[in-house]
Amino acid sequence: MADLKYDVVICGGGNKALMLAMYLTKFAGMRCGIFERRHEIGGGLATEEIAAPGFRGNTHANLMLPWYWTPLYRDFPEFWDYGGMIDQYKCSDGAIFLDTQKCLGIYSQKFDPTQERTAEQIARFSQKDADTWLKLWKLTSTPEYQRVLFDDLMNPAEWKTRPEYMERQMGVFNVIQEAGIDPMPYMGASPMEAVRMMFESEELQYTVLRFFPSSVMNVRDKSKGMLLLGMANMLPQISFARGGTHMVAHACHQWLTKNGCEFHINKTVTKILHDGKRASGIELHDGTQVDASKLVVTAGLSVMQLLDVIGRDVFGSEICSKVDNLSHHNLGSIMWYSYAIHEAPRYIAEDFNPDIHETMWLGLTTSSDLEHLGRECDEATKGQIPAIGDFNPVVWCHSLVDPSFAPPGKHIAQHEMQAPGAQDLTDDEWLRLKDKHAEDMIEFWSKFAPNMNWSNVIGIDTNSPYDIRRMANLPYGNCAGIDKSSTQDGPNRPVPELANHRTPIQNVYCTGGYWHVGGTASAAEAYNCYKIIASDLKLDNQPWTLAGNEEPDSLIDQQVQLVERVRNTFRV
Amino acid sequence: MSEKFDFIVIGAGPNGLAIAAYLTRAGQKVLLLEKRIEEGGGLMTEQVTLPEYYHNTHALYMMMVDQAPIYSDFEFESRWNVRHVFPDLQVTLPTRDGRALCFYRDVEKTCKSIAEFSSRDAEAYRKMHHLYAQMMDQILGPQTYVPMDPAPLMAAKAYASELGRELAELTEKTPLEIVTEMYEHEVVRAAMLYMCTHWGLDYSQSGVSYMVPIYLNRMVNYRLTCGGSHRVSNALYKSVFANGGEIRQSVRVKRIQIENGVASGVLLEDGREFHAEKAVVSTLNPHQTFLDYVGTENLDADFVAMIKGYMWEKSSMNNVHLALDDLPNFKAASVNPDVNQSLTYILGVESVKEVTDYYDAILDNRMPERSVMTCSFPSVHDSYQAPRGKSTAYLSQVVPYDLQPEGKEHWYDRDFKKTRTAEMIDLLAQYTTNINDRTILKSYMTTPVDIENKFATMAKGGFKHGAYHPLQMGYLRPNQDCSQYRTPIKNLYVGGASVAPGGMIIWGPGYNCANALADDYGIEKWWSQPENVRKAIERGYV
Repeated sequence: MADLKYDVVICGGGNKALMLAMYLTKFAGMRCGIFERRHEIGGGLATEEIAAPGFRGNTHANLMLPWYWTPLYRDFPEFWDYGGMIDQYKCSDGAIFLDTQKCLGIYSQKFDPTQERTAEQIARFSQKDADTWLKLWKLTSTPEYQRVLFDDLMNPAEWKTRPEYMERQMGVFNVIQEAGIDPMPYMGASPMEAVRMMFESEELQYTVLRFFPSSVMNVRDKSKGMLLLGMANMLPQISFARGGTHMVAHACHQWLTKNGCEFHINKTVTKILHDGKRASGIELHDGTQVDASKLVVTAGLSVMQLLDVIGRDVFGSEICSKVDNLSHHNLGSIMWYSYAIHEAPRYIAEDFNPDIHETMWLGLTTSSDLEHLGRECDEATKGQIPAIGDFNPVVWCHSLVDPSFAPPGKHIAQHEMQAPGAQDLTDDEWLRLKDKHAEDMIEFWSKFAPNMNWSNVIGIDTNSPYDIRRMANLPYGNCAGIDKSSTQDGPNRPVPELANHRTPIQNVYCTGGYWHVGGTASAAEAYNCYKIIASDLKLDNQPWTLAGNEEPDSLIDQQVQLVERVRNTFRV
Repeated sequence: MSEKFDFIVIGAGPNGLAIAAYLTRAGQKVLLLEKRIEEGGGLMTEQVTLPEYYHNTHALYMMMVDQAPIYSDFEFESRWNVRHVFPDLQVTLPTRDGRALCFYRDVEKTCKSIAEFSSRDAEAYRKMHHLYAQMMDQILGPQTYVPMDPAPLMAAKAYASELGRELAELTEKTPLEIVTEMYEHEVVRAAMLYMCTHWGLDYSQSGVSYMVPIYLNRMVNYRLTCGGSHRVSNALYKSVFANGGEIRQSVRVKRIQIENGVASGVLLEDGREFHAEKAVVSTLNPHQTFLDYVGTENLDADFVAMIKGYMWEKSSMNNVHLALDDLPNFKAASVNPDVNQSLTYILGVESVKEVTDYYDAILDNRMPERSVMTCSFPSVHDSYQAPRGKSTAYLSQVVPYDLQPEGKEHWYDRDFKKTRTAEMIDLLAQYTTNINDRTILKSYMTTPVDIENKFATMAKGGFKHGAYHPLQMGYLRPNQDCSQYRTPIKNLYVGGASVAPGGMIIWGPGYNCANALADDYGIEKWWSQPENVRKAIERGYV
């Protein structure tokens, strides 16, 4: 007889597991047991005080977007109060060009809802681009565009082939054409080519292009140019989690524990017990067995771990070989440093725009030449760090906006940059690179902000792909697990046969960062998996079927209300 | 419109969690407010060096697992799977000439080790061990989990019994006097004296030496939490939720709201407001509670003067955490193999003078010339905390906060921290064969200012929220108006480490405050009076 018994056993305790457990508990009435290998839940929703005690550095997920948890805000009213809060800087994105010490600040929608302030800044480089920017912002705010966006994000692959989704796809083409944009040339273009087509000033081209690697997309990838519209639309929405990304994990944990879900940490799932057709439970590393009377779900495990815990023979050689050949080396292995500092960085470029220091996704680059980003992506695919001249770090300083990030009067800044894969270097090489990269970053950063020198540094957390291996589901150090190239995205992610969250075992389902959308801290992977489970089990009065909750419009409304709530709660 | 709760508890450290856990399980609606993301205060387990190495970056030793009622009341092991390891060899003082003075859980094994240095001291230890164990189990332990009596009543009860009289006389001596009268051998004296001073007792201070039997009894009663210290607080945290309690984390209190002399709620910096139908309970230090959040305008002048006179600790901690590529091998292990399995090591002292010289410098806010520290290798006792065949090290040194002449800001100086780290590692290297640049994969230092930055309640890096001084202990902690957990303001209670019986992971303030709240608000207690407390009351000790 098993030692523990639940309706559903969830393998993994990261953000996908937490958010899926919330839906299974509230809308499927199931009693969940969560089993997490590490000592802390949340997975990528992680904030640590490693740079220096009292200084909070997000060691994994950092950038949030208002769409991320729209289902949770709709279906779990306590989520915000329990800590599921986002906020935005005065400038949500931007770039500083060392050669001219000029800068381009993209104002957040919190501070500049109509984007007129942003257009003013763009106009200093190109009036035409300023007009294009406002046109894009208006276009992407239309219901037609937002519906297609949410359709793609918040539905499993097989639902997206339904007629109503296809109709909305067609609807958005008309809106784009009416805005005078011909989408066809973007179809086969790389992001680098696409930004050159859309904008004329290199400064705006660089600033928008810079966001592709941040979304784990190579700037030379021919299949990603068509996403330019979406990427440009995201820049004013870039947000962070108030208090630190780990707060979101605690928000879910509080809701779940109050509603009967049980957590078991320091427990590694080694086997899902099944008879080839149905699963009866799981086995842990210490030999204990856990009964699952209804479901077993792997949430956060890599697709490779999924094959192991169920048994590769069950999946068959074709799926196994596809999984074994998944690429993970294009982009996504990142240096994620935190810097506990006395003063916040103050930039020479503040002469050009005094707000630039309060920018969240601030790109620092030698010049606006797009090849800096091109070479950074090239080096990343070869498992190298580029020369300092080709550094394109993104930096931010959450303590400027949210004082809880650092002790009174002090600050914490962070940077992100592409890096070698975790297995590209030996342990010794990694330990040396981690320290050398800190030296290089201070040298590079101080060219833009003279006060970012070593005497301003209290301590640095050199968090690298080598450290990300603490997450057993990210053996390559890639934050999205595997590349988000076109063959491994959407209905192909991680492989077509598993994209809809089912496995060959009837009551075993799977989700995580290896599934669509992938590489985000959003609720999408959990919500889409839950939709498949609920439809397979033919459960009634599910949230998306309730009056007033029709999708995608109810999610779009949540996004609008969220931004309003941020504007009113955290005064600019 | 503010949200309504029966009780609002400010601070989700061990004591705040204890209060919330007891009250929620008694059916009360409790809100916890915590400035940090993580609950548990000093009960932290963090990966501050490398992946798969877990470090207990603050509290490591669980001193009252056999005494505190909370462990059985909340079924830590059976309900929340929180287990403790109780190593057989508790404290070891290796000597420079390769020997080792070992303190085991087993008194006879300890006497055998002491006898190698002085057979007279071995006999003295046996006597002390039994006497202090009696004092601990019959008086000092129970006293931790009942409200403190005023001094005259406490004295009267003490003098009513032989054991109580002996404890009262002991209290008036200084730790130095107690140790030097009892023991003759310098190494034995050094170990005994250091184990008192390491936790903040001033060797020349009389009037609080009832702490000496506590520390020298607990010295062989240290336990470690499997999986790391944070597991302990996490269990209570889950219990609070499971019983309907709530928490708001990463919040900054702006005001404890007082309406015509009565505490009614809490206002946060970000504008959120919470109403307390019954009471607001603060587990913060007295300055935060009364000067920052209540406000002097709500207090009478004498009380404000008392609060402003509250004394902070004179020393703090400078810790180094190491990720080691090997298991530690002590030179003294060639003589006694047990040495490699000791929970704690005292390094750098072999005479009383070396201990007193060290502390004279600390009390003078100077860094001593010669380093003295304790260290521990938790992963040796709990394999979860490091990869197989490797280990974690926790080097801990008592240091001044207000360093002279440089001032506290000097603790931010990276070169100074590098030399401090090297000095502590060199001291460890003197007693071991395999601690060197090859085996040390990564080091991580925390300083007194780091402690203050991480825990706002620990002013001047003082982890006990205030000095252990005779004018500020027992019935006088933090002062005579607040030591019984009520305060001059109706419906405002205090229950943190700055309140009797004091700091460390002993759960006393939280447990007693929960009992006081239950008594004052007519809440039916689901927990029963601990057995040792009942017996102590019967014997008139408490």
